[in-house]
Amino acid sequence: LWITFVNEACQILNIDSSRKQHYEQLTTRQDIELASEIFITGNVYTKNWPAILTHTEIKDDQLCQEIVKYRRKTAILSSTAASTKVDNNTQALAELKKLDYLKSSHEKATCIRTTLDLLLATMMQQQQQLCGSGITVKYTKNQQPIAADETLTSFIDLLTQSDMKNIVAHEYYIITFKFLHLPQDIDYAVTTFRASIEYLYEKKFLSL
Amino acid sequence: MNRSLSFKVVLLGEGSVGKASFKTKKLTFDGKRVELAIWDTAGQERFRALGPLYYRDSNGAILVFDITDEDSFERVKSWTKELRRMLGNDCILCIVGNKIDLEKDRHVSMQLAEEYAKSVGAKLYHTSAKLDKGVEELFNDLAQRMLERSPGTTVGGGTANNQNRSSTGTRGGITIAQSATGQNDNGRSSGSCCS
Repeated sequence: LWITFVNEACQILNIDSSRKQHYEQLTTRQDIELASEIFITGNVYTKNWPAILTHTEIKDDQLCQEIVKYRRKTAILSSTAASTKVDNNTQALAELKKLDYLKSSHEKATCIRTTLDLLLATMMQQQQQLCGSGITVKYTKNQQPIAADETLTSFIDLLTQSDMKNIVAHEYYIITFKFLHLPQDIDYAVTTFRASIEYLYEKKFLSL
Repeated sequence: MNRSLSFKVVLLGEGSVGKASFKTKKLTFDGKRVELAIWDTAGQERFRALGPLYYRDSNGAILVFDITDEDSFERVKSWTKELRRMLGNDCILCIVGNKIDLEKDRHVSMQLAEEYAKSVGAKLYHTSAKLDKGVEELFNDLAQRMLERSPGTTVGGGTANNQNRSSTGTRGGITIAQSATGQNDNGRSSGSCCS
């Protein structure tokens, strides 16, 4: 089991497995803990995941209903914006959907971080295009930061476009099965993910 | 191995002050490296209930108001109450009067802001994000105050605790391994949060 663990851990951490005694390269306690998390949760995932789906089923169903309402509401507010956003967010959406195939809390959390990065990159690009087109926007310099209000709004839109049925289950899994504190950048992305779910679930959009 | 302390700082204020969603800022004090992870929070009213998700485990908070807008100062008051309720007195609070370049349009008196900050155990700062005035001083001072508050750590050659992760989750600030990437080591920041 130890050999399997070391081999898989090296794969997880991108350590060159052709070298002799590559377990020596698992140098920090953090590396070993992270590898343990991915190894252990990955190996019991097929047993855990169905139980989690059952546990979060009601909340996930409710969230799906709220997403339908949100879509209707935002469609009324802007009839064309929704389709444009889907086109622009293709990459971020594809990344987000990878959550369904990842088996550890850390991998799922990292996936959300990458999704957020892709979303922010798209937003930056749009901002620059607006600047280039001569339309006045509030930022005049290139590469201006995107504030949390805009980030959160875009992430909520992204979730509602994803057609994913197990969003709450993924949130539950990430929080419950993490062995380590998340690095702060990943933690921020996961918090944005959780805030988006909370916003939709608590029907805050009804006041829009 | 070089180590640095990492602190989580939440940023509360309106979206138009040039904040970034997430940014890290690296500082050095007397050879001690400090990393601030700055979490911007959504300031709009509709997102208000989501604040606690972002505040949890924060070591410091920067509450920004616009000196030309009285309502923004009132919002700072309600955020302060919420933060104190959520995090107690351990969290270092910085109340920031922004847009000092518009001094002639000031609607929140300096004395009023000063008195309020004192009454809630916070410190008042004056900045102009537009002119990049006072922002560096704010972060340096905040970092120094958090270092002083951090258990087992004293500015000017103290000790640090032994956790080794660039993450949050502890209120006293945590030690992280020094990254291999180059960093400004002249005693001041190598990144910026507000512009």
